[in-house]
Amino acid sequence: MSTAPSVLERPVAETVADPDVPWVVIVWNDPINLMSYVTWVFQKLFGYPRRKAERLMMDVHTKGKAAVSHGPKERCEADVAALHGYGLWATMQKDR
Amino acid sequence: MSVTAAPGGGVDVRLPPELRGLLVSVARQMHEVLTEDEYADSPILARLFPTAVEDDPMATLGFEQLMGKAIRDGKIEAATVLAATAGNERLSAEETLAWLRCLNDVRLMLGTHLNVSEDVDMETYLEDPATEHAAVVYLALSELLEMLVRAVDPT
Repeated sequence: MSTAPSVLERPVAETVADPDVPWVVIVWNDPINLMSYVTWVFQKLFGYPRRKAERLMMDVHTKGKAAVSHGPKERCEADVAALHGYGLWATMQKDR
Repeated sequence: MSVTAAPGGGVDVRLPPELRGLLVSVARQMHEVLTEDEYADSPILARLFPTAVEDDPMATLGFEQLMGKAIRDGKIEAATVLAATAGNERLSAEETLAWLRCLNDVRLMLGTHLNVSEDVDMETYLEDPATEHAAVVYLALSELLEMLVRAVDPT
């Protein structure tokens, strides 16, 4: 019950807040972060189910990077800041 | 040595006293790196605070002005909590989070210092007297972090 309204409202709010090109948040591979830790951070921060978090982590590990979230600039800035807070190597760019 | 989930989202930690002592010392070291001017140009800080926006210095500067202080304060707070609770047998959910974050930051600090890469085996660092100590600490903290992640794993 409680999740339904926000799911419906979010795209509208995003459109109003930022009509420009959406942004995407990328996490890059690095040789230090543990695979288990990265998977946990994706679950914790984004609420992704285990399977999705693991798939993203494996993409980071094997392909060198993965897009982990996208949306208006402000939201991506918050996501990058949170990922840096957890020590992940994250950047953002316009989603072309 | 064990880390197990405790009621309320925290964990119970059984650790040898020397590891607890090590946690205090690495947490203080982390605090120093984050707060003292002499580390301003260190590659460690470059790794802890990566460039936020690819190929866009203006947007990166904007990000740093907007978010930089909060990220830094969060890391300082995590290091402070780890140093203060390193001797505790039970950690609250918040303290557990601080341990996870700070342990990972310390691993980034040591890994950057050692220049860890996927092509170099840890044995190489362990065999070299110049890097042996950092490598031993790095491996001990990696093991502890792995145990903490397993204990808080939501699935």
